[in-house]
Amino acid sequence: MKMARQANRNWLSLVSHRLTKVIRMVLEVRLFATLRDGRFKRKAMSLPAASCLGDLLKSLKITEKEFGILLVNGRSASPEYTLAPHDVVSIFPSLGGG
Amino acid sequence: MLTQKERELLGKILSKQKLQGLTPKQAEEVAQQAKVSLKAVEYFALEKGYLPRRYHCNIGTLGVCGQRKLLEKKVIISGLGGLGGYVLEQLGRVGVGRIVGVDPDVFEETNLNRQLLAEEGNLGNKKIDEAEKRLGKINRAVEFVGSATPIDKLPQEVFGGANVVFDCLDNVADRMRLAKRCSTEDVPLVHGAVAGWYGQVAVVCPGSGLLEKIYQHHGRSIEQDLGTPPFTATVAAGLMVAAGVQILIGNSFAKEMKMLFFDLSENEWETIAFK
Repeated sequence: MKMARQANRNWLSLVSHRLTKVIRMVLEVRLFATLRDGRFKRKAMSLPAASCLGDLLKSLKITEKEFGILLVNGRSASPEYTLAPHDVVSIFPSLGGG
Repeated sequence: MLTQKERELLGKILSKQKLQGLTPKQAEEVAQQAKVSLKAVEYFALEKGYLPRRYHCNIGTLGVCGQRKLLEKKVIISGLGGLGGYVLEQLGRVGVGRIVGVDPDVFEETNLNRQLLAEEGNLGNKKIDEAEKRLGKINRAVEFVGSATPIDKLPQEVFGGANVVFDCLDNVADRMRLAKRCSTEDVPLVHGAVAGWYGQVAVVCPGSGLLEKIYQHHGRSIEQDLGTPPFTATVAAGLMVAAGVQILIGNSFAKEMKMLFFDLSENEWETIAFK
């Protein structure tokens, strides 16, 4: 019984894992300043459901050194933040000159 | 600012001159006769309705009351380079009473593209000395103190009593140290930073941790590749001074966790909110 339940749970997690890869969500991504070079200003992007901000950065090939401020729907967020459909993501580089 | 005796004497001198508006030269003469500071003369004249002519074009915006408030205030400018030179110029002209300029550096050739105080003839001179000279040319009523001590080690007698601090530094590590000191001393910090066509300005309320949030993920700052052209520094300095003056005259003190980001190549202005 216990084993059957465990197997069931494993199966469920496998299905949900597969599903998140199949089910996708659309986000609006806005890039600023030098991050636009070779990329874009604003674009609707499709990502696997439940992707995090870090996954988006990876798909855009934006390295940790390149970004300064991350915003989701106008509020600051970290790379671990889990994205939801229709989120608006803005990414800025770091400025420090004077 | 003045004793009763000095006030009476100043009142007499001013009323004798039947002034419409006080010119800098007249203010100087009055200060010499009454043996008081130029700032005290201007402050008193504003109270009595003899408008110093140097502030004529400020009054419609700041009001007599706002102009007097500025003369009472003390600000610190941390960094006298691209941002700091223009911030100093504007604070001196608008008529802030006391300015402390902090910068350990001397002028060099690479400053000439944007730094107001950098001249071909003063390369190698200390930035704080050139700042004092400049203020002496544009508004001698303003008291200036220059210091080459790092901001986090600035003695209490120099830092103390500051109403607003301007972050005109050129690197993130120093900016963090400055924000920490301002938080400890409970002083609002006006932050500005530039790179290429881009700039950012924010009012950091003490204890808010806004600057730490702005630079939370900071990697490589893009000015290392783009440099700092003059127009971006000038725009950022203007925005910083406007925000600082708002705080000094007691208008809306933006306590929101916000930062303005601008892109002069695309004419884009974004307000960013931090949680």
